[in-house]
Amino acid sequence: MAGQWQVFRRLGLGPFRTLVGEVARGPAMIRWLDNETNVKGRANENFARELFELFTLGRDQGYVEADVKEAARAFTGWTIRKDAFWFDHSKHDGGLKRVLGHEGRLDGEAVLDLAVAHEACARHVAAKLLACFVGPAAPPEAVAELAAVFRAADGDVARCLEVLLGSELFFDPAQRGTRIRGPVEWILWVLRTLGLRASPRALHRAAARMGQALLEPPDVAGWDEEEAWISSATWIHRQNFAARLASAEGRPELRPGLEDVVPGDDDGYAYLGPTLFPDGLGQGSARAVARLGEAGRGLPREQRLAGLCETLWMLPEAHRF
Amino acid sequence: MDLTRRAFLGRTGLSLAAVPGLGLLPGLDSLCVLPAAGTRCLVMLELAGGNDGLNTVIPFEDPAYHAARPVLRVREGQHALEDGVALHPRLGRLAELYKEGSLAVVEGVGYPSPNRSHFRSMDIWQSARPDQERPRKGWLGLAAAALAAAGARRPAMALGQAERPLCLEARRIVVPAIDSLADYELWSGGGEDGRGRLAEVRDLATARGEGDDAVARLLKATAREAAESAARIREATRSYRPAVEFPRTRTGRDLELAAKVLSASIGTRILHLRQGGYDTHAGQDRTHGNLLGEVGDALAALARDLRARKLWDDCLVLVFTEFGRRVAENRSRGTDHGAAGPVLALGGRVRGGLHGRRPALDDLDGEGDLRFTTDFRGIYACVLERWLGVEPTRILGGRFDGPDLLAAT
Repeated sequence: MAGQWQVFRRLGLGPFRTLVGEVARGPAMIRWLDNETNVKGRANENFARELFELFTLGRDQGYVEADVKEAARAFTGWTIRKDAFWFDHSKHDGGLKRVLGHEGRLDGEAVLDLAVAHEACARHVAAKLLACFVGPAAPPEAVAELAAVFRAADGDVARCLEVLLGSELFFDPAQRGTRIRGPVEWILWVLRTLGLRASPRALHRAAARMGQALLEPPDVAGWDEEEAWISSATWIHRQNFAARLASAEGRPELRPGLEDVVPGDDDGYAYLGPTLFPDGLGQGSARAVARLGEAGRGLPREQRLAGLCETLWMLPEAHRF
Repeated sequence: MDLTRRAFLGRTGLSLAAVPGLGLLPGLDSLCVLPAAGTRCLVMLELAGGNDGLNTVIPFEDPAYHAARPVLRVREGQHALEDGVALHPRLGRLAELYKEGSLAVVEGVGYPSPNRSHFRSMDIWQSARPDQERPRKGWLGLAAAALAAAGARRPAMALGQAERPLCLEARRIVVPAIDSLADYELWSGGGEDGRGRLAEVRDLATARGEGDDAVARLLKATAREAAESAARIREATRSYRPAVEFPRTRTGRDLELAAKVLSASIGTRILHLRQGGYDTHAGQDRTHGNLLGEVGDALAALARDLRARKLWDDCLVLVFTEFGRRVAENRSRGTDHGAAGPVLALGGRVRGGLHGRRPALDDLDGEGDLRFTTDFRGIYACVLERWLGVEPTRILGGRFDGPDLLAAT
């Protein structure tokens, strides 16, 4: 999985077909989706199905069961030897196949070509980029537009991002705050906005309890996101993380300490407020912070800072972006 | 990351956690039928990945079964039930429950036009609405909302998991998810004073505000539910002592948590738990056996524990999966996604025995899969109406008939 993640980092911004090819030949994908046992004569459909459903076309978009079965035959012989991709000729079904409307002695690479070139793939990738960088409320027309950019750029993801990140939609205030921060996103926001650092091991454990154990997704589709991140259990884990990080108990792990990053000698809200919430706070949250400020008067600065940070990190506004 | 099922904010209209006693919520009051059914509990146990029904409830006298699975067929050690059918060798404890009359097996359960995608098929089982492209509500979420509207407090819970399953989703209620009871506690530094102060501030921050959109409402409602349920549930389950020794497995621990919640009598009527790992495309033999052994032993422990507390008669456990697997084995000593499969029901008031009609192994569908003979919604209708006392037609989007799984209630 670490190897797969390296592939994402290396090729994620390049041509989508290249990324798909590398991931498909990676040991993680082959092992996880049983392609080691996908052999001529008895094809194992697992990889072919998820290739279409999750990674290229989208569920039920442009393919039928017969395509899955035939595509599975094309990937026979794709296996691993010594933790690297190896093509076993003897296990490969080189016969005539029909996949996504095309006939021939199609092999795995040919099927990947067909899948990525399919119009549904452009839409699928565009939808994912919009969901990630804009949010779930992005209008459907945007998908079509971005899909067109994808096609025109031969699937170059960097080009798509360039257009997306420069678009009016991206800067539209109505689209702000529509995404919910996942565990890793939220933890990193907590740390990075104030320039804090903590032990990676502790952070990994914390994120896992919040439902996101990095490199260990629950299944091949990855994690359910947005509202699925928020449940009473994960909320308790986030709350406890914020409380421990802010308090003296969390201190040994936290570098630098809160007193070192928050200027001034008051409770620090004049600095923390705008830093953490450039878009401001809702009424309820603003009142809560004011109340905390009053109640904290007279307490040592360290305690006031801790109480304030714990509260700010757990405001509803802290969990969306 | 995909556009999620539960996305499209701005149209979901989630409100705060239901505080019962504020009056019946519109539209839901008509769903409640039998307030007297107030103590009966439902435990939904999800086998995730597609449990191989044919090796669970085995037609071991059918030569077609042995012919289709030269490697994977069960040859010995199976626990004969009756009528040519037996349970997998690792389900001995469930076979005992069958002999006692506490286990019902419905054969051939599925739905028309079976979908072989994990995600789509599980959505169908959890929403009971194959007509909905991307369902956002679950059949038990709607039932729980009806119970909440009629005054039930915290009627549903997801246990052993940090994410709520679709079957428990509905507007107007926030269903708590408890992954581990030991961790389900709010820690707050700063001493007694600090704790009180922060709790007050938290209340302020999560109070309903005018400008709140759906995301804000979800976040605030969850925060409130977490704070309230953390205290309440730990307190209520503190005095629990297990009457039996639950197996030290993941499913054993989860079902022990279920026993704790049920015996705490805090009004929770619907529980959902999940055991993963059933997607046995390769090397099925040992994996499947281990999974079944784990779940069978854990269920037997739950039955014994609840019976000792005199709660077994008020408990119904339903064991389901998103699809069965293909009749013929594949070349990887495993099986691929199929269609129909068995559903198990356990409980003190269950009408034990075999139900439904066994799908014929010589009359498979176009993909080589078993044809369903009982629509799963018929089972749901029975559970909703006769067990939970909730009107089923609106929830299921129609009338469905199913086997008579419950002794006279």
